[in-house]
Amino acid sequence: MLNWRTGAILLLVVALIALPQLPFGEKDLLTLLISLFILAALSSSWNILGGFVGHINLGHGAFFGIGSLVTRSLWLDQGWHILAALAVGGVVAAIVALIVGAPALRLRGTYFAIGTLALAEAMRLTVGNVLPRVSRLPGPELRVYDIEPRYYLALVVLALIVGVSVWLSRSRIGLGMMAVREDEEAARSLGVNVFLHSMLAFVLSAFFAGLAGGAFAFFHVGYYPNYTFGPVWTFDAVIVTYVGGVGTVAGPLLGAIFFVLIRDVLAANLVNIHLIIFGILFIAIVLLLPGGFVELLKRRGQRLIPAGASTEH
Amino acid sequence: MFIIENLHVSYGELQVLWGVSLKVPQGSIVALLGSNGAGKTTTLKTAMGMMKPTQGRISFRDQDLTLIPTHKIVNSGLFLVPEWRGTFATLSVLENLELGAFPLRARPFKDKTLEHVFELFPRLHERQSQRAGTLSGGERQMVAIGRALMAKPDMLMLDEPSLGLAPLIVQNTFKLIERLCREEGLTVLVVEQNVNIALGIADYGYILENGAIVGEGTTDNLLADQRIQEAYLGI
Repeated sequence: MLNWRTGAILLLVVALIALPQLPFGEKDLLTLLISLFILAALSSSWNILGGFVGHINLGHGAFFGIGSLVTRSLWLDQGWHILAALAVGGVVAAIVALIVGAPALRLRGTYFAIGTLALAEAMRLTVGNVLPRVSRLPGPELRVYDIEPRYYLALVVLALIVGVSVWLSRSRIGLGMMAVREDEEAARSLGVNVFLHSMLAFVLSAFFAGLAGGAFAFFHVGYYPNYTFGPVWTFDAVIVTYVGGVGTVAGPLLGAIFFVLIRDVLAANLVNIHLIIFGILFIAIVLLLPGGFVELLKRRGQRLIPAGASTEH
Repeated sequence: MFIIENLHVSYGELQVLWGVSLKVPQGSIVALLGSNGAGKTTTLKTAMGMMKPTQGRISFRDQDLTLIPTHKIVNSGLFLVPEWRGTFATLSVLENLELGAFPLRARPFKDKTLEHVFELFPRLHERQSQRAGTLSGGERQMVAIGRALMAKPDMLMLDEPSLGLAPLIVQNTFKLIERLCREEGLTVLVVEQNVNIALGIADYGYILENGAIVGEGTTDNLLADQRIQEAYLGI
């Protein structure tokens, strides 16, 4: 069973790497996949703090924004290599998380959510005031705009965050994070350093959101600098994660595939109706299927496997 | 020897412990008895560094534990099974047990202790991949005690292990605690409202009332004390 799964994942990865070289690897498909990768990466990064540790961060978009802003200005204005610019973008987002985290992680539950939301809004407004103009790719860059490196960069960023999520889901540190989510007091009594685990998750979460933002900056031609700071990035990630399965590695990926497909199909015909659909779906999932799609798959899987087989390993 | 001296603890303005002192000698079972709201849980939490005392001193084997963070206290060999056991509902039995081996001192022995725990509780071995939330109360008690053993403690503190369990399971739990003490040398401080069953295994007992120790003695002396018979044993 495990071998079958590893094989399927390997095949998918090879297919994704080879795709741009294949005849049907058209620009439209690559563009769709890039936005899928970025959304999946952003949602997975939210999931590290929101899913594993259970701290609902409603200001996650700010880290996406910081990543995109720093990456873009280093890459375009300073002429850095995109990979160096991207790395610094992620690190800056992580440093901001480290500074903000010290006071913010003293808040619990709803207060943490409100606090982070307020911080992100403050950042969005500040950036909007300081950098009011639309940022654009300069003409020469635009003439050589090539979709392929954008595709691969987004794919690598997604692979990194998925890799770290898999590691977390199996490591002692990740287990400690989940213990904090389940019962903070009990986790503390086991010797889990609650603040340290929360902080580590917050910093990792911000770092990868920053990378996702950097990939977005590399991909997108022109936008208002404060656009990437907007709450829509936070809430898309939250919805995607919950619909797919909060606290699981596969959840944000499944959620993102579903989200992008539905959005693309519906946006072509019915403009913004996908937002209503996702809103309703989000509420339905939280109320009726708290484990998201992953839970649904698990339940079906358990029915397919004969009773007792799953208790053996 | 585990020693609490003159412990004062407050929740904000409200003081709940007024100079609690008690001793748990190495390898013995001591019961801390008292009714709801007497301050039993607060005493244990403060001992684990989860609450800060305004006054007093806690020490374990001559090491001062007052105002030391919880994860360091756990690493010194003191372990608390919290009220309602604190098992993690959405994590598997195995994950719950593995979390017990979180302290540095326990990590090198993880696989070996796990084997030992599965020997002690074959049921947990059968159900290791099941979520703890789907277990029965008795099985969750096994997870809680198994998880405690995973931490390789020298001294175990149990906060009302009888809570919400059927009488037979309560009996088994206390038999097991007694066995762990007598056979494996574990020192135990058990907090209980169920005075009968706690004194059934304890060597020594303290009575806590309104945040102060109002009586103490060997098990036999406590059982013979008329005041205690009336107040706690319903005789």
